[in-house]
Amino acid sequence: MASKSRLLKEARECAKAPADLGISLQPDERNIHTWRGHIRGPSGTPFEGGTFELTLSVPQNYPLFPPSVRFKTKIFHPNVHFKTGEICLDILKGAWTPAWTLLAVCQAISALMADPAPDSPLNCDAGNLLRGGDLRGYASMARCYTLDLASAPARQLS
Amino acid sequence: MLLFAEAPPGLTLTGVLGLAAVLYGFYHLKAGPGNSGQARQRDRRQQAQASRPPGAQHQSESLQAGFPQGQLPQGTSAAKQAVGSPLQAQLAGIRKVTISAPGVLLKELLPHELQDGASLRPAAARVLAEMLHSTAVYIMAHVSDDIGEATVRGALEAGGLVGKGPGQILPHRILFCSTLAGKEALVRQLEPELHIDAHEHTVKSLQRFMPQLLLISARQTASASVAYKNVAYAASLEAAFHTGQ
Amino acid sequence: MPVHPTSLLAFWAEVVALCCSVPCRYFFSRRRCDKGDDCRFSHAAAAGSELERFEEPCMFYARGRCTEGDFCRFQHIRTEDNRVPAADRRTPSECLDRLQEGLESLSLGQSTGPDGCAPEALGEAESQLQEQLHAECEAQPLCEEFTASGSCREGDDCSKAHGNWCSSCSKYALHPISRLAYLNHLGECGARVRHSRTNMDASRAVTCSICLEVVLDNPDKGQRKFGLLDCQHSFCLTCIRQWRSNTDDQVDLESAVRTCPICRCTSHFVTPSNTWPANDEEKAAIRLAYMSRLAKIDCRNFDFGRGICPFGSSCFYRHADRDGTPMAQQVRWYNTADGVRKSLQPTLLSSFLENDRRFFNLRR
Repeated sequence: MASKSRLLKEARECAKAPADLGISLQPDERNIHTWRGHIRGPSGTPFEGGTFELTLSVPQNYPLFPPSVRFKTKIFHPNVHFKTGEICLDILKGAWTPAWTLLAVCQAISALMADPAPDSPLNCDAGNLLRGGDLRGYASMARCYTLDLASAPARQLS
Repeated sequence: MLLFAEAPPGLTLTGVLGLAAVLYGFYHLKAGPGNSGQARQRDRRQQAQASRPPGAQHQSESLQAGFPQGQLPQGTSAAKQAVGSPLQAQLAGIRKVTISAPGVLLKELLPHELQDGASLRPAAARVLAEMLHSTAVYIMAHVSDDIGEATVRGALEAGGLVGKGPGQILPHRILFCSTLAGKEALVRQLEPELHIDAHEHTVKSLQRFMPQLLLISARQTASASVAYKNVAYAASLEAAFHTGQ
Repeated sequence: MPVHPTSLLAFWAEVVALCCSVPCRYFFSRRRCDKGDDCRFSHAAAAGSELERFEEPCMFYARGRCTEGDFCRFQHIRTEDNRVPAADRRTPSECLDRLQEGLESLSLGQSTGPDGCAPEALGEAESQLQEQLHAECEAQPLCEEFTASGSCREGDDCSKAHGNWCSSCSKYALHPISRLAYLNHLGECGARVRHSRTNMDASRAVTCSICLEVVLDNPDKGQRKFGLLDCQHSFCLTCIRQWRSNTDDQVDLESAVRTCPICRCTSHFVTPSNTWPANDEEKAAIRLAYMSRLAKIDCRNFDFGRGICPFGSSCFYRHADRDGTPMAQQVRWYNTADGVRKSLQPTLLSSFLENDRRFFNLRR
């Protein structure tokens, strides 16, 4: 299957990814269409120092269709649903192209963490904080959740 | 008839005694366990009543004992009701509490007042320390800049309330915001069972979303606009919660 | 009447014996028989000796070269009818020999004087001979028909030279007289072959950005083709066509599907190519050749004027009637409320019953 060969290729590329990228990605041993990733909180953001786990579900007709990605670790972010972990990102929906790889998707999510888009929020409270200009409140809350929920040792990134 | 003309050789005193024993055993089996079980239950009940604290009878009503729903406390009537109730009992069933520090823990209320310094209320600090033993507490403060944030944090640290030990709050659970709307967003995000605030406006805004709110107001009476079923009122934090000290 | 099994066996034995004596046509014509030693026909016949030959002379031999060689079934003879003109029979080496002989004859006939005027006269004669040969060459340009096909309708009466076989370009393009033209063609052919080999070598390193595989290493030989877009990004033809036929509702058709997956440069069609073009000129040439090939195919939607082609005058295929006369499909235009000019498509019942996108999936 075309998706399987491409996923195998991507798995090899992910294994060779540099550690300073802050992203660790690997497929499930029993099912290559299920991946698990860990993203280190970008430095200079309230998420710094935290490690966030993601689950990626790859469809059979990948790369023609985008993967389903969600945060397994709870995160306070306007574009991430706090309870379900659903991510509102254009490349995972209408703007998807086959040129995107799973590693590139994780990089885009890392960039989204550093640069949120409060105009299309899945977390209304985070969106309201940013749209109201209360950066102090947003950073304070994000930092609190990062230290409470995402500060487990980054074993995957060691 | 010959059977009863003269005593048969088997029906002697031994036989009579044996029959009596059988009858006694039968009676014992039939009535004995029920009686002893009821006695045991009665004893148990009496022991429990003896060991129960005096306020525990209101435990099932939990917070409602301290904050009667639908009733506005008259002066210190709420405090009178809570007198004698340990704080843990009052907070039974509450896993998370958010407290707006200005006006509740601190004497200063407005952001510009925090620029010159912050004074921690000792009694409120004791209540907070007691609360931290049994409940997850998040403190938030509406400040105007970094100076206000540093002032608030310094006051809490000076009171020994910040740290990792028991009766202390973790540093990252002290939240700050620049706007009142931001404070409301923080409270709604945290989804506490109880929010304690000194701002009527905030309490009014959050009334629809929170299960329980406590307004700390020196007026001790609520204006008609803030009369809600899930909002309780107190003059101070220590007045609302009795720590038993 | 019942057939006796013994007589049947005998019959088949005779047939087999007959086959064994008949030379195998594949072995002698292609010099290769797939059945090998199991072949019923004879592979032992000497080359051409027992092979049936036709009486007609071989016209390719008459022109100078027959690729069948000794296995040709026509007569390799040169008669007055098929004799090659004297000019055609000269090879470049023979020309050089002729030149040398001419020079030697000039030197032998010259009387050397004490003033040493003989060498100058020799040089002048040599240059005259060269000029004469070049003139002969120019007077006899290569016949295009013979160059392309190896045969010429004019035959011996052709006023142009019939070239010799060039294995590089597989044409009769080597001038039989002029060494200069001969060498020029070899040089050009060699350069072309080297260029195509370089192109192929460069193409071998190109990977598809969708399947992440080297395009020319695809296990399926039929899928070893590039799909060229307006930008410089490389894709397999199959992969890019699959992406552009994506009809998922989530994916935006105009901003994602019709654009390059990498740079989002809009491309209205995909050009198939066996090699990856080294520059824009090559890409333009490939595209032109592709469009030319398509223009010779009749549009199945237009159907010789009986149908309607949704692409109208922009269609790549031929819109002509059965006689080949070009027919233009009348296009009506209108302006939308936004001021955008659009062509008016005919109203079809099927557009209300099916997804309109089927029109955009044609030939993508």
